Amino acid sequence: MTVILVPAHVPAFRTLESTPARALTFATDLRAVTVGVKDVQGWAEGIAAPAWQGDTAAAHDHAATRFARRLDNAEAALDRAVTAADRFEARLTILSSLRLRLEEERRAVNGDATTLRADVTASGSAATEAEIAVLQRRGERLMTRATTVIAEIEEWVRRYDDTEADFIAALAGVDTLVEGRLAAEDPGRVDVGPLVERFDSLRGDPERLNAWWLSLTRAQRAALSTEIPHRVGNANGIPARDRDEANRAALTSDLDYWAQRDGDSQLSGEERSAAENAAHIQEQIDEYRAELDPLTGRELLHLLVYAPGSHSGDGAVAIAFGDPDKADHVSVNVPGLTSETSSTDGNLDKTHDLHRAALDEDNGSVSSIYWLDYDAPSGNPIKPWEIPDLGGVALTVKADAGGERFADFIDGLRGSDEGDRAHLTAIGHSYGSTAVGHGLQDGAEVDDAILIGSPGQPESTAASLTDADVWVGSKDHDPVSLLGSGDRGGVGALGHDPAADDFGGVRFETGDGSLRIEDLLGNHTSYFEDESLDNMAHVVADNDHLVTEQPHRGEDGGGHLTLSELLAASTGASVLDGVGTAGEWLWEHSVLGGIL
Amino acid sequence: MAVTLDVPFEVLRTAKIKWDEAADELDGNWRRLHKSSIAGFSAEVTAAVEAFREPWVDEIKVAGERAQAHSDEIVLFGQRVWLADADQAERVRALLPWAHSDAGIAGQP
Amino acid sequence: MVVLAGCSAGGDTEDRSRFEALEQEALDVVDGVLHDIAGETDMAFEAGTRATSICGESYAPRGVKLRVFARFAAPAEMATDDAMAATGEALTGDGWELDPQPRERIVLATREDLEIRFDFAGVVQVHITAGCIETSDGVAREIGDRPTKDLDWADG
Repeated sequence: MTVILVPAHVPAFRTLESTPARALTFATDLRAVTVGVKDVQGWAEGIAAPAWQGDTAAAHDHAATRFARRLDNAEAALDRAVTAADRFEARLTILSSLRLRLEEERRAVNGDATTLRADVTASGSAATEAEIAVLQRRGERLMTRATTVIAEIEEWVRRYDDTEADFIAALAGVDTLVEGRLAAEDPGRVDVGPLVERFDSLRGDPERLNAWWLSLTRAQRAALSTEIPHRVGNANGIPARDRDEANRAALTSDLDYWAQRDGDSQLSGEERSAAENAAHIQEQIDEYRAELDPLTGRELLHLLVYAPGSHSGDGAVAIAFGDPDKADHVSVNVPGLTSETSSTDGNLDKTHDLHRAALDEDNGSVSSIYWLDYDAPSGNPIKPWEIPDLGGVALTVKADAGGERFADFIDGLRGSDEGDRAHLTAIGHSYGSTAVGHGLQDGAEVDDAILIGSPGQPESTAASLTDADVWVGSKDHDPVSLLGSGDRGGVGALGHDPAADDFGGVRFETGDGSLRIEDLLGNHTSYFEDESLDNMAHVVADNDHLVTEQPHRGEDGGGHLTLSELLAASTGASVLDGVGTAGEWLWEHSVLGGIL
Repeated sequence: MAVTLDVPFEVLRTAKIKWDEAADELDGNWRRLHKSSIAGFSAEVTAAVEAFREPWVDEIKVAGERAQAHSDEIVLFGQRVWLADADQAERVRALLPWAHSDAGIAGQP
Repeated sequence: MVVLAGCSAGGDTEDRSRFEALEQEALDVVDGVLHDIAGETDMAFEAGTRATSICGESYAPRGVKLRVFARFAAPAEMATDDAMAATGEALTGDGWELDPQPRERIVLATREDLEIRFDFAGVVQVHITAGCIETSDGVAREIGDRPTKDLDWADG
């Protein structure tokens, strides 16, 4: 009798009950609590009796000292719990990835077993010896695969049990007040003071900061992240994942604190503005909370910059889809005029669209970042020289300052990059393209730069701007893109038109946009769509050969209207189109008349 | 009766504000810890988290209430601090930075 | 692109109605074919959201974008290729037109103004979106500012 071994179906194995995403949510709560307790304890410690001064009885009578000492026990317990939660989450992340692979293999083995069983049945008694031999070999290979996956699953279950057990034990070690006191008195407790000093001395040097940070123990990193969360979260060179955790802790802690202050009607104007910005950021996190990075099982979104009170109250924020330290391709897009934390929503959606489009290029992993950590002026993008924020100062001042910050951020990404050097693309839209241009002048180390709807660049050629490849998206009916000085003039207040032939960039296809006057600003705000988005995705994913081009302004086939001509022509086009609301629109936007 | 504490008014005012801020912060903290997300954890992990949370929620809550009581102890009227008697003056003094721990109290019997 | 034009109060009402009809259509997809696919492939629903945002910038919102998102655990027993094939079949049967696959493990389909996208990378993540739904600026800001909501998922 011929025997063909076919493995029984490998049964489903335990689900990952404690997921990385859930652990992150818990750890964020715990970190936020620790941030607050440390904040208060630090203040109380500052007014308490120094350990070396005063007799013990007098210090004991000092209520502030007693308060500080007792709160220190809570702080020590929380520190231990945060470290445990951090480790728990990291181990779950590894287990999550592993589980996906094992689950895939398990289902594949089962599917192949079903197929083999059917083939054996179908072959029946008429099968030749050769056919039987083939079936036997398939069965043997399948048995080996099944045995392997079963063993790996058993190992996975053991590791998962260990992970939970370690976390449970760590929490159980500090779940009484006495254990908190013992943790506070533990000679091995992290002394965070010297760490903070060292941290501050290394800020501004992302590579050295990154190397030092990675040399710390998990407990040291956790202690720093809750001691100075804003500084850790916003420090260039700190790994993206740690920035995200520190910033989420700071955000949560801030929101809790401001909610209490608001409840007592004690919020100052500045605090209220910062609290509103923080709430906007929290809304964005909530919007994308459910979306996971398939590679890690963690949330797709990473909060890389969180400074809700900065830039004259506009706030600063940077959010990444995907982990930029691990991605093969990283893009950073910088928005333009009127951008502030409260306008993150739409811009983040565009970044998400780009992320997905770049992933679909199927050329490696991608992280796409929205970066707004500069003081973007407020005002009408067609009349940048009348923007109140600028107050008569040179137009380029804020772009220059923004460019410097942008270059620092890029340095940070380079500093925390893991594995092979990432392919990095800078994207600037509108005034943000001018800021990016200044960043390129400052030596921002990117491989590609995409300038869309640019009102001007600080250099007259791409080659003098940067060593990176420069790509330009300019719709001829985008009035802002006609502001730069070029072959037919241009205001030039913000510099040179990068779409001009003599600039030397590659002008990719975007279409011209509608000529109706009520659509002109729409043309300026629609680069993250259609062929323009496709082309940006090609560049971001390093598929340059797929980019479709359109003629530069000033070269054959690159004829275009000047800004004045565009406004005149578009007004006519609207009337010809019979758009009844054109008059109303022009009235509302009569500011346009000022530039004719 | 006139009981005075030999400390600049600004020190007292700042101390009251800081204790009040500490109370607000700790109030937010214990609430956050109390409702910290344990959704989806296994029963064993959930039990461990709850066992950890319980004493520290209470401890932070008590600390917050104490901070609020300390702030309330420093009663200000206009540009003056109200001190009922020497006992209260000592209590207020114990809430100030250690540098003022030997500040004089006048009007004592 | 879904084109809607008009600035009058009547236009605003039409814009709003058009958006809400499309949003309802997306939610019907969730209650309909997405439930069917989840049942057939034995994928457990884990989380979901529905959100809106403006298409352009604050000074030129142009219209509104809709994003419905749902995440599922991987199919319990079905191999990924089989689950993708079952998904494609169910979508076709529901009147969707399958688009070319942009990369492995993606199922992409369109039906009139809606696009649905399944990403079978371990967990299964599904996006239902519409391009920019053009509206008046006022309606765009109003709808774009709506808070994100959790997606209702009725088991059964």
